[in-house]
Amino acid sequence: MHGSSDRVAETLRDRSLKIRRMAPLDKEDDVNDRDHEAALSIIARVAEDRRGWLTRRKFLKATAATTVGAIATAYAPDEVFADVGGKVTLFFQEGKRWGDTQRAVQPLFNKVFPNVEVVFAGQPGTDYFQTLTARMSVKNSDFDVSYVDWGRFPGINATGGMDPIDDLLAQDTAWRDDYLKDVPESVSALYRIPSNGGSTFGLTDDGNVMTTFYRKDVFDKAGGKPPTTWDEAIAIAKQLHSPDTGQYGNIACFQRGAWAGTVFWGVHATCGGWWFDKMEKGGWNPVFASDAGYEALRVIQELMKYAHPVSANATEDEVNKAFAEGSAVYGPVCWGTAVLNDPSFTKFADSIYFDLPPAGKSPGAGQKAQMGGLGQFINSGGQQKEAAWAWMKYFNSGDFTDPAIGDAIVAAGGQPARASILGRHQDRQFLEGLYKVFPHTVPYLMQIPEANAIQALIGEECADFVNGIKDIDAALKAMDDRTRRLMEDGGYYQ
Amino acid sequence: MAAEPSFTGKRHAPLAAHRRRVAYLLLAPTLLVLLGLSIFPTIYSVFLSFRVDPLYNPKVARFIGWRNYTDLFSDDRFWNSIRLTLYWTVVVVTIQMVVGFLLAILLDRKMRGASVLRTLIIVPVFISPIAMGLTWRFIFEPVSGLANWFLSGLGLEGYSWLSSTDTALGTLMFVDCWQWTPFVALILLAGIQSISPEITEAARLDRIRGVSYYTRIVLPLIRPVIMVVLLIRIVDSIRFFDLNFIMTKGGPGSSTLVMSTYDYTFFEQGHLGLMAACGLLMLVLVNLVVFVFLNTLYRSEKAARRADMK
Repeated sequence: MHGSSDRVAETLRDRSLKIRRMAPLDKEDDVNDRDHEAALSIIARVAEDRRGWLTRRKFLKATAATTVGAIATAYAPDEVFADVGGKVTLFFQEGKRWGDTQRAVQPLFNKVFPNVEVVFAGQPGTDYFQTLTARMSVKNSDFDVSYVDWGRFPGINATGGMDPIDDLLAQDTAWRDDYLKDVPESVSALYRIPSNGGSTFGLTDDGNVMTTFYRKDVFDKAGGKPPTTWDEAIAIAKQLHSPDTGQYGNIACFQRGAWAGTVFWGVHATCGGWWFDKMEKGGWNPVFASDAGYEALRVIQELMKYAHPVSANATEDEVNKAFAEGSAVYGPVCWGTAVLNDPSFTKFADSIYFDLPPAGKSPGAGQKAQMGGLGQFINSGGQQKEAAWAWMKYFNSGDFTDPAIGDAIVAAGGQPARASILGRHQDRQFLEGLYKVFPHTVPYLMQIPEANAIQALIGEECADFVNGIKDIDAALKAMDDRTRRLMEDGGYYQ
Repeated sequence: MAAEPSFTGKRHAPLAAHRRRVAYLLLAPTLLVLLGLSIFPTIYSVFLSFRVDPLYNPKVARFIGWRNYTDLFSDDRFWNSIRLTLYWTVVVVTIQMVVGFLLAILLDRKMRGASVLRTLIIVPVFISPIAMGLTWRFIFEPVSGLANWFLSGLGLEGYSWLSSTDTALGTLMFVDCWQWTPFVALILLAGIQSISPEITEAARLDRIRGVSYYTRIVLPLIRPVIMVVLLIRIVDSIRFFDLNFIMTKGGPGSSTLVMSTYDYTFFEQGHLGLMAACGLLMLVLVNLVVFVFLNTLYRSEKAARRADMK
């Protein structure tokens, strides 16, 4: 009993002393400060008496001290870095997973970094990437930290506007090791850029997977489980397809360009396909016109017979809306995101589950999901490097620094990449599923600057095929020819 | 007697030079803006169009001669986008001019509430194309949209308005006409109402009424107004983009991929060279149409004046 209260008293004393060492505090913190003073005096008296007999009075005093101290420490940050100051400007695309999560974390950040002003410079999604790329190319100094979809990461990295962060990570190896242990390798590796010496340029708090979404209640009623092969998927889509009752067999986003590109690649990967024969000198030859490519487009063609009517020109917005209203019950390859488990978005939030996508039959086929997510990086043109790193490290800390960070991100609609945060939020099916699917992922784009442009062009060809504008041979040949042209321009065949 | 001031000759040369300097000084801000926002970008676009200059990888940027142009000319989508743009322009402008003229005749009639109707009819012109595109996208949503709900109320089958290659272009045309026909109508109405009452009276005395009044009197008299509104609508239609971008983004497939949206995809994918080449070709096309149009207008005006003199 004595030993236990001693330990508590010492811990509280250490903590309070640590807090006392902090630089000037603002008014709000003065209140905390007075609490700590009170806690400290009580602790001191308890400590002085600790050699004596335990009386009821002493016991009550110790309990009171512990309670006051616990309350004081619960509402005060572990450490306050008042010596870090400046203004960190965050440039990002607005949206739940983008701006909302950062805004949710900012109050927590400012408790620890009271002298860093966080400025949110969000802009609408349309043209965000183009604006960002252009700003990075001219070494724009108007922002310090940016947030970008993984797929755009290598391209933006090639502008030369990102700061490598390996040295910064090495300054706090405990933090770095925790991050690397907690974020699955398939996710954290996306931000180490091979074409730039394998250096780390970004940290990720957000993981995303393109995989199968389905309505469990509908599948249970139909006596089916999420299909594991594309043949099963086509069969179940046919079975579920009932336009008269407003229910459609499957849904996907085939808007020309990037959206259709991700769906094609999602199916293509499960059929054993890859973009290039080999990704090294002497290779880089596009191989879309292969068994896997043909199988992928045939699967898509069959699924389109039982597809939701928006599919032919849909983005993820339309797909999510269709799930939300109940006309979509099965999406074999969708991004979906955590919004589908948000009761304020859909009344089917509790019934929408997800699983690995089905597998094809070609050599190398398997149930593979495309890995995605968002990464943060420091703009090399930015002026506030210290504040930028403070923000980035804090935002991506997870439970290592404060469990409240992860909780705030989840509550704002984010989908963490850290296993520890996912583990604490298993009540949301999507987050539970992310954890399950991470080990079975493939990168949703190759780690080359041309990746996004290639994804868009295969999406154009795929969309033309889906809409009967091109046949299967013409579409696959065009994918290969156009990719080859891009790779030529990038100097891959020299 | 003092000599009369003269504005010619060497004595006043400094004054003229001073005036010229003032003129240049006053013109300078406009010229600078034009230079910065119009002339320089055009020249830079020409430069870019001969380069491969990926936004995502500036390191590989280099001069490639005419290749961007040959790549465009060998792309089916490029020719398809030109075909679609011309088709779009002909259909949409024709509908807007014909319906706009009929609407103008209707609004010209003396009837109760005409002024309220005139005010209401112009509302679509003032709505932002982005807001309007999003609204119409919801209306034409195939499962829960208002359009199919309305059709089902009439016992008719719904359509996949914006996600079918059969209906997407027609749906876009409908929305564009909905927005711009009132504009055409109001301009034509202004033309009709500017016709002198004496001419109208003379026509009435000559028993020129009904259709022949409009074809023989009104149309020839408002021809300059028609030409101006026609020119505005043709140029607008050739560079049609906003509604297309918001409602279909050139899809499904490439079934509504008009030239400006086709060009935009190069920007989206970071191909600055192709984007510049395509943009310049579009500029040439617009200028060609405007040149042919203005030339025809000028010739017909000249012919009409000659006929009047005879």
